[in-house]
Amino acid sequence: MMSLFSILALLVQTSLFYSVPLVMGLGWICLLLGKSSRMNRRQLPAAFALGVLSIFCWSMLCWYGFHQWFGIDFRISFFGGIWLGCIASLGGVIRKPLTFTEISKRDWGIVMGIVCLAAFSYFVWLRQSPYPLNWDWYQHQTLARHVQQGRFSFYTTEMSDTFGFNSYPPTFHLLLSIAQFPMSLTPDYVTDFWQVLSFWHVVGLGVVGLYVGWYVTRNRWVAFLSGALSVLTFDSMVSLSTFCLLPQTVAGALGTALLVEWIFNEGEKHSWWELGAIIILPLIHFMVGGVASLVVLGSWAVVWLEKHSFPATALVVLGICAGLLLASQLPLNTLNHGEAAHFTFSVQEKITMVERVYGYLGYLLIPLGFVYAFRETKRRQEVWLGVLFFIGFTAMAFSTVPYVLKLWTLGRFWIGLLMSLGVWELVRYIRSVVMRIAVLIAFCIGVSIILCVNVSGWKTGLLYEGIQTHISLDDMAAARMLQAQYATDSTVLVSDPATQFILEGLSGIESPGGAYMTDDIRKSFSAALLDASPAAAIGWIRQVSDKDVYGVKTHLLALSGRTFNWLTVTDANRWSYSYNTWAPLDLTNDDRQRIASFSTLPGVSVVFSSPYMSILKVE
Amino acid sequence: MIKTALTYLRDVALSAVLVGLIFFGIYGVKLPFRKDVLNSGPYQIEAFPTGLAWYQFGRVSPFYSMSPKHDFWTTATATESALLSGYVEVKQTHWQQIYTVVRSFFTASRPEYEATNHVGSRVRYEAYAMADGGVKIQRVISFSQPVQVEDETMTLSYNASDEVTMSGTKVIITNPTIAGVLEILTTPSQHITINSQDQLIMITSLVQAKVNTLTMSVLMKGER
Repeated sequence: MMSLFSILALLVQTSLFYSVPLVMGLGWICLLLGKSSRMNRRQLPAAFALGVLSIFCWSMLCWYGFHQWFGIDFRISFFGGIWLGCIASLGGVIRKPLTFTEISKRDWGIVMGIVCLAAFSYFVWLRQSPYPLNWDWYQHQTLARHVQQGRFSFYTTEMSDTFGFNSYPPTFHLLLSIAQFPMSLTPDYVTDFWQVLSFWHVVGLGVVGLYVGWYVTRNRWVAFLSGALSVLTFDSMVSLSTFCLLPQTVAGALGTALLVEWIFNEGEKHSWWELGAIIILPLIHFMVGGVASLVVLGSWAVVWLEKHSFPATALVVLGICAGLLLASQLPLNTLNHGEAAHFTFSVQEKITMVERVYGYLGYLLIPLGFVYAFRETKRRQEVWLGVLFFIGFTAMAFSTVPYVLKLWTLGRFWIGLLMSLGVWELVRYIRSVVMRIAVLIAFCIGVSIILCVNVSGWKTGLLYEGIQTHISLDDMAAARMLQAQYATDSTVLVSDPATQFILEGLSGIESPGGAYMTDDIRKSFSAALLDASPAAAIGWIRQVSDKDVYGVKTHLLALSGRTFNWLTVTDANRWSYSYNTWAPLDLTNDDRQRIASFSTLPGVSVVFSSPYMSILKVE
Repeated sequence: MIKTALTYLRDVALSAVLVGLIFFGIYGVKLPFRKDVLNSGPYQIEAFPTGLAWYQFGRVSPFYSMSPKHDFWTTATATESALLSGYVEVKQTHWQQIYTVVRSFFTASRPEYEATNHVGSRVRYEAYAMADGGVKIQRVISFSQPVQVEDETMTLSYNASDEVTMSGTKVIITNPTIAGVLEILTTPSQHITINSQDQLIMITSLVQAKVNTLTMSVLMKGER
C-alpha cells in the first residue's frame, strides 16, 4: 500500500511523461512564433507532438551519431541533452507564458468536472487491483529499462527479443525512460509507476474528448458530455484505450487532438512547423499514428478543396462507400491468419462489443445525434464533418481488415461525440438549468453502471487470492530476489511465456522472448518438460541462449502454476502469441513432485520457493 | 403562470424520457459470464444452476458442490428423509443480475443460490467471506407450512480422485491435480459422515422442533 506522500511524488514524476515533451514543444513554439506572437491553449497538442518529435530526433542523433561515431555513452548524451533542453524551454515558456484568457471560470469548472470523472473511472479500474492490469506494460518497461541502460535502436526488435515485430520505433519508451530517469527500476517502483501513470492517461483522454465536443459544436454541454463519455466508457476489446497506456492509445489520443485542432479551428492559419506535429504520429505507432496523420492531412485537404468550391466531401462519402464495398470483396482472409486471426471478429461479435461498452445507449443516442446534425444550422458544416468522421471510423471498424479494431483508439471519440449530440438533442429543450444538471448527473451515473459491469466482466478471470490481478505477491517477491541476486548481464531466465514475460518486465532479468518466445523455443521447452527425463530437461535448459545476453553463465528455470497449466492447454494455444495464462495459478501437488525431481539433480538448486512458483538455478 | 407550468411539465417529461433512455441503455449491457465470485485460498465459490460450487478457475478442476440435489432433512419419525432434489432454481431477472454484478463490484462478494419446489417452499444458499479467509456457507429452508424436523444435513460432493481425511472436527480434501486443500470446519454440535459410495461429505445438525424455517451454516476454507 502506497503512502499519500509516495502517491503525490509519483503523480508528479509520472506527469513528466507528458510534461517534458510539452515543455520542450512549447520551447520550440516560442522560438518559431517570433517576438510579437503569443502562445495559446490551441497550440498545446501541437506542442506536445513537437516535443515528442524533438526527443525522438535527439535520441537518433545521440545513438546513430554521438554513440556510434564518437563512442559517447547514450545515457549521458540523451538524458543530459533532454534535461538541458527542458530547462532552456522552460526559460522560454516563462518569458512567453501561455494565455488562457479565453477560458472562463465555467470552462475551468467543466475541465475539473472531467478530471473528477476521470478519477472516478480510474478508481473503478483500480478497485481490487493493486497491480497494473495493462498486460503489455511488461514489454514496454523492458524497453524503457534498456533505454535507461544505454541500449538503443530505431527497431524495437533489435533492442529486445520481447518484441516479435516492429510496430513502432521506441518513441513511447523514450518518454517512459525520461519520466523514470534516474530512479532505480525496482519491481515495486515500476508497478507503482505504471499504476499512477494510468491516471494521467485517463485524464488526457477526457481532455481530448472535451476538445472534440468543444471544437465541433462550441457548446459547453456537448463538450462536457463528450469528455465524460471519453472517460466513462471502456473499449474493452483490442484497442483498450481508456485504461491502458500504450503506443497505440497515445497515438490515437494525440492524433484526435491534432485533428480537431487542425480541422475545426476556422480562421486559424497553420504554420509549416505544425507539419512536424503530424510527422511524429506514425513514429509513435506505425498503424494507428499513420492512419491518424493521413486522416489529419486528408481532412485538411478536403476542407481546403471545399473552400475552393471543389466537392471533396462528396468524394470522401463516395470513397467510404466504395471502400466498404471493396473491403467485402477483397480476399482479406489471407491476411487474417496467424496472430491477426485472433483480432478479427465477425459483425455480430463487434455488435456484442459495442453493447458491452455502451449497452443500448448507442442505439438510442446515435440516431438522436443524427437528428441534431440535421437540425443544426449555426455550425452545420463542422457538425457534419464530425458525423463524417464517426461514419468513416465506424465503417472501418466494421470492415474485415486485420487489426482494424486498433483504430478504435481514434474512432471512440467520434462515437462519443455522436452520443453527446444525441443527449444534447433532448436536454437542450429542458429550460431549467437545475433539471438539466440533474439529468446529466443521471446520465453519468447510468454510463458509470455500464462501466462497472464492463470492467467487472473484463476482470472476471483475474481473481486470485482476493484481488484481480495478472501477477501475484509471489511474482513480486521473486522479481525482487532476481533483481537483487542475478541482475548481471550473464543470466537468462527460462519459463512459460507468461511467467518469463512478467519476471523480465518486473526484474530486468533477460528471458528468451518473454511472451513472444519463438515457436522453436516454445516447442523445445514444452517437450523438455512434458516428455523428457528430468536430467534431459535440465540439459536442454543449459543450452538455452538469448540474443540479448552475451556469454550466458547462469540459467534460471522458473516453474509456476502458470507454467504447468500452460503445458496442459491445446497445442494451438501453446504455440499462440495471443494466448496466455492471464491470472496467477498456484502449484499443484503433482507440480511440486515434478519440481522435486529437477531440484535433486546435480548442479540444480532451488533459489526461490512459494506455493505459486519455484525458481531453480541451473549451473 | 400557465406558461411556466407548461414549461415545467415539459422539462419533467423530457427528463423522464431521458432517464427512461438511460435505463434502457443500461439494460442492454452485456453481463460477465461470472457475476459474483468469492475467493478462498486457491479456490473460488460461485453459484451454478444446481447450487454453489467450489473450484479452481483457470485450470481443469474438480467441482465441489453444495446443492439441494444432495441435501436433506429428516422427519420426526426418523424413518424417512425428505430430499430437496425436487427444488428448481429461481433464476435472477436481468435487472437483478446487473444489480448483483454492481453490488459485488463495490462490496464483498456474496454468491447466492435459490431454489423452490411445487408447494412454494424455498431453499437459499449464501456464501460469506470471513475475516480469516474462510467462507461461511449458510442454507435457509423456508417451508410453505410448519414441519416437524428431527435433523438437517448439508452435503458437499467430492470426486473419486480426491483424498478425504478427517481430523477432529475438520475434514480435509486434497487432490493431486489442483493446488492447496479444501477444509470443512465443523462445530461440536455438527456430526460428519463421509459417504464414500456417493462421494458426499454430510454435515448433520440436530433440530428436533416444528419449524417454518431451517437455518444451517458450515464453515469452509481453501488453503494454499
